[in-house]
Amino acid sequence: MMNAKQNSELEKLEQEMRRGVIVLAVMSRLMHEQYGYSLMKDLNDKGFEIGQDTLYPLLRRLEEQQLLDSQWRVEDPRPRRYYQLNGNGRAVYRALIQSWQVQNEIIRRLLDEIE
Amino acid sequence: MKLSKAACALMERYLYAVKRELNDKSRDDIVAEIESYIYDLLEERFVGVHEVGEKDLETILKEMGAPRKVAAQYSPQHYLVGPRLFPLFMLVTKILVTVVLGALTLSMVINLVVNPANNVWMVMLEYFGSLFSAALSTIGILTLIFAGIECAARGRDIEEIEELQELHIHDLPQLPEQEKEVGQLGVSIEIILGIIGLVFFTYIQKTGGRLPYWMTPSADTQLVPVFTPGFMQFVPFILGLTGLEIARNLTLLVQGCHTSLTTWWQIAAKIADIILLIFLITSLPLVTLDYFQYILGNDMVMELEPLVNTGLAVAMSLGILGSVVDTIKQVLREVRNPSV
Repeated sequence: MMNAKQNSELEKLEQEMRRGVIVLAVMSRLMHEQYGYSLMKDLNDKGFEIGQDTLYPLLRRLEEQQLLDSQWRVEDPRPRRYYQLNGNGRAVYRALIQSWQVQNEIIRRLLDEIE
Repeated sequence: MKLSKAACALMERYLYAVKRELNDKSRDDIVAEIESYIYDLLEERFVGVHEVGEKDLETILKEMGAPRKVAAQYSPQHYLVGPRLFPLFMLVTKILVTVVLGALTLSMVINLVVNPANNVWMVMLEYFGSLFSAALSTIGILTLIFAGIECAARGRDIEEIEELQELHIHDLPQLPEQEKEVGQLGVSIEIILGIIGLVFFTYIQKTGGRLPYWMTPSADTQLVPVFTPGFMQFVPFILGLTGLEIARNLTLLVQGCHTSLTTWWQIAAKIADIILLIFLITSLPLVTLDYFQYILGNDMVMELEPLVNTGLAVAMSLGILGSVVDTIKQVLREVRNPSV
């Protein structure tokens, strides 16, 4: 049984671990156009919890890195900004998937050895 | 779904506050997206509600946090002194603060010695006040300089910093155990020199500052005055300190390593040496060449004597400065990595 301090440390470590895969998770949902709120709901519904305070600045950063394209649409009940991976973003996403799979395999082997 | 008049006003104020906190050139765009998010959230929370009131919107905004916090999420992190420069900043700060505080301590001691009429408590009070303000000013000025470098070098490589991050094997510190080991030869030489000093100062103590004169081997050896009474009054202290230094070196030889006792003993001895040197400087002239006027001539002696005493004063001042820096370094080292 962990005490309060250990729980707090665990929470920090989990956050740190998740931080590394947020980009991959977000990119995985942007093969098709989505606006910020629908993307957040989509990720949360699939069990990947992410807040507005993390998602929106990240989308802006990915766009600055020219991995995403975005555009405002006014035909909805009110204006919304839609995001989608561009060609460059798709290539980076594919490379990230490969890297993730390699890391995943390494971690799996490491954990198997312990067991 | 629409907002009540009060909620609409609250929304506008909130978005305006966020906008004011943003420095980004696309802040209108960011604010528009935040507004869009808030509406999406309201729509989900208040399904079928025709008009959302001020209280409901307030709940949502409180969840999002203060405008400054929301805006900060969109801004890149800025440092006054970033992680790249910080180790160098700390190193320079430690050295400069130590030097400044050491110089202030020295000037306080000199002030007390030179002007014994001064109120000791007032001098001490002024000293502690100046310590605080000098440390703060030094750190403040250094922070401003490094912030300037940080700002100028943002996004660029700094060659000097890269060099500092390279490994130079000879710069690696000794392991604590090895650092505290005693070099037997060095300690033995120090003991021998100490004994020679002890013999010398005991001799001049007996002769009243006179030394034997052998310029004419055929004539009888005679004692001539070399040290002034100003110097001679300190000889008992010099003898005492030399004796203590020999005792410390003998203790070191017996122990085989530096211990807390010998290290603090050495620090105390260095402080005593500094004070003694200050007293010696204030008691100039220390050497007299009066006797040599028969050989060198009166004019020559008149010129030479002040020169010798000034040379001694300069050498002692340099000795004080070196000892102050050395003592501060040793105290810091001992505090950080205490001997057993």
